[in-house]
Amino acid sequence: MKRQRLKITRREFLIGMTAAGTGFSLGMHLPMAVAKTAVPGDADAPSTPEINAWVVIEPDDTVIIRIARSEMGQGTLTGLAQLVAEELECDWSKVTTEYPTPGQSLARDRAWGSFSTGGSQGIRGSHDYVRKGGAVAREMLIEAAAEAWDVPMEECIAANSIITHKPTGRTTSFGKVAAAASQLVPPFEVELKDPADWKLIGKPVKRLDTVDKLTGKQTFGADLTMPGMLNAAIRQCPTFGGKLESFDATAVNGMPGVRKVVPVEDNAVAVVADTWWQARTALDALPVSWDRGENVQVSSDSISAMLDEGLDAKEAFVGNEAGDVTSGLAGATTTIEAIYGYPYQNHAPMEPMNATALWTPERCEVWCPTQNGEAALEAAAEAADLPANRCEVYKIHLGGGFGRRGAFHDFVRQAVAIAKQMPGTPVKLLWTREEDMQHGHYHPITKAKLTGGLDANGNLTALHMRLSGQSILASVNPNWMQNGVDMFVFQGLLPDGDHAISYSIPNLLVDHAMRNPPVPPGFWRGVNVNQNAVYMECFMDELAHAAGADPLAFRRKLMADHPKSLAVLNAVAEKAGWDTPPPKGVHRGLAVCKAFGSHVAACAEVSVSKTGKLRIQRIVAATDPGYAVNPQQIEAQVEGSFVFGLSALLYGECTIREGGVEQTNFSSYPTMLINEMPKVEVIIMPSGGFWGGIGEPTIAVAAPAVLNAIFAATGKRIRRIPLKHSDLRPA
Amino acid sequence: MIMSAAALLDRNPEPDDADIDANITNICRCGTYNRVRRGIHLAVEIGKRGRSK
Repeated sequence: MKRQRLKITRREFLIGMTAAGTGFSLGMHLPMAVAKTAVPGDADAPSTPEINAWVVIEPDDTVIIRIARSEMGQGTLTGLAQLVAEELECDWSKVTTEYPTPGQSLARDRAWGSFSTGGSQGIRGSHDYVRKGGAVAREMLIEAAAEAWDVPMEECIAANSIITHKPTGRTTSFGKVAAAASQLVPPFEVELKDPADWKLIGKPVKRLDTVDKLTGKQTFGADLTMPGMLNAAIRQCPTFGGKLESFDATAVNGMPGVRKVVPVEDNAVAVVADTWWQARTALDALPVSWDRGENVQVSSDSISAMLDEGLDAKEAFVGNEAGDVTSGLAGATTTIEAIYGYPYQNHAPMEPMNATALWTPERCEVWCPTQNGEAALEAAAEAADLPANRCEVYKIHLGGGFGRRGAFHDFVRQAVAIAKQMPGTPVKLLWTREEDMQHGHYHPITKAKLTGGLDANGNLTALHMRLSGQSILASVNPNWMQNGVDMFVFQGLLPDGDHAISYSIPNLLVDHAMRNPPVPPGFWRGVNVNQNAVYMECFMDELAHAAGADPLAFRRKLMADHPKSLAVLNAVAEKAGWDTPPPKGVHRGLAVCKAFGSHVAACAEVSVSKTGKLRIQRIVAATDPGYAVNPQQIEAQVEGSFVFGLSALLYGECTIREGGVEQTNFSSYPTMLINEMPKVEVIIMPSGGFWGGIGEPTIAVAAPAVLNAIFAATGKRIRRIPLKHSDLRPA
Repeated sequence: MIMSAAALLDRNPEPDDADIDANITNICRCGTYNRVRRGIHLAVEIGKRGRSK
């Protein structure tokens, strides 16, 4: 084995550790025990040298794997640890994990790559470099053992945390050589294993974070406490874009526990008190006046009219075009048209937004659940008015994220803005559920007008899908747009790539009339495939019906050039028994989509009673993510995707009145419960050769599969979501 | 959710699916419902095994 060496010193590799090991930093190896150890001033220096950025091995053989992406229930912590451990050749039972801090990342030139945990990127965005991190550490451990034995390292192998010198059978453990290994210069190049040789990747190992969550040991941001900490409750202007005008602190200053009433940025006010309930109670009693601004005129009706205009507007951005849709439609034997709509949705994670901040003129520290530690650090530094290298963020596992805690760190900015007015005192800001419902960054609102043309043989020859509605990027990441076009709007409908359309249609036009109401949009788990798959898959069913064709057979004819999408569709059809009649009173619907790099399909079985009561009985779902790192975790994500997608379909809608969201809590923004949960059968069919996402793709097929099954049951096409608006009594 | 499941098992040591539907009314946004259901049934099984020792 010939190896090239990277000419850098060990000191350069370690430099970040010392930079981060000062001040109020948490124990490097205990970031998960935040509440117990995060005592300001209680510095806890790292005790064991690392092998490399990814791996620390204790003398007792404990393996600490550093994970930059955030754990929010989706299991990425375990999946990423599996990838590192696969190459490291360590004993899986000895593996624990820790988060490197964003401050360490800054000091070490982003040694761990991106911290962003969204877009189903956890594994598919970092599989290469995290596996290399494990492989490099393994090589260094082997080299340390070989040097100790004075034998060529090529004669040594590592497995299960044991290094063996093959010719003599001598063995040593990772823990015994870790200190020596940490002094070596890392190899410049490492070869990754062939997938055929994987031992840990692909295994349904148990999650590393379950026990602490089950026993209640896990501390979430909302539970965080530290000595001297005060609590803050916040109220933001009920109208989007509105400002704080004034408040009368004297009315609440004498209330129990109240320490201070403070303005927060230009649109909110917070009460800081000994306990959160005291803060909230005083906030309820606080006289506040708002400058609500011009958006007070905005309502769901005005937004709907804005989108309706876009459906027929002359100007639109093109997302996918083939052939000539105008002549294709003109030459069709039959044309049909339909208009669909998808409303605003809120992320509504169970744990409302929160962050704890400690500010001094010299330094600012924040403890928070975040999907993007680097972005949280940037937000903290900006709000603290300090350089980023004098700030730090300690990540805490999330009580749900769904996109709310990734691109937006309003809660971090606010916590710092409050703490800045209480120098030297840690302050925990916790939003009420009502603030969380009314100050989200919502799944964007869109409508679609679809026009399809069939020839005399019932073949789909032309399709025009006009999308009208809100762009996320225009509001959130304008720099990601291309010449004013938001290509994310076309997720699931694009000519190729991770979000390619699953059909070949000779004359096709998908275009977007961008209409941006003043309601802040955001990336909501699944993002734009949620509505695009409803539009495409439900209309595909309408076209099949118009052609007098079976919905499966009709789709198959258009999918010859999309074999992987066809394979997942065929898999659900076969397992659901599409070719045999369903039980009496049960009806089936199909949907297929490519999203976040994975191919997904679902077959739903529903029944609808004479009184219109829907029962979603059974879902068969198939996923081809290329490689399946942890099958039981994939199964959990696919199952959970139906709860998220079907909750949106059944109930999810944020309506706008006087420029604000009307819904206030789960009473007005319901989620499906256990008694509505269908049986979910998951088919995982990794075809290899690519890395697709898991957390989001399946949400796209949940709603259209059920809507198509409802049509089969009732003869009714439901084109408005959520279903709570529709009378499902059979026609 | 875990506390609801524990409370249900205290009252009803062998709940069926209908009992679970009626008694577990907690919201889960991540969508663990089917796993919670399986977990409750598993807890009953483990409890029985423990008693028969």
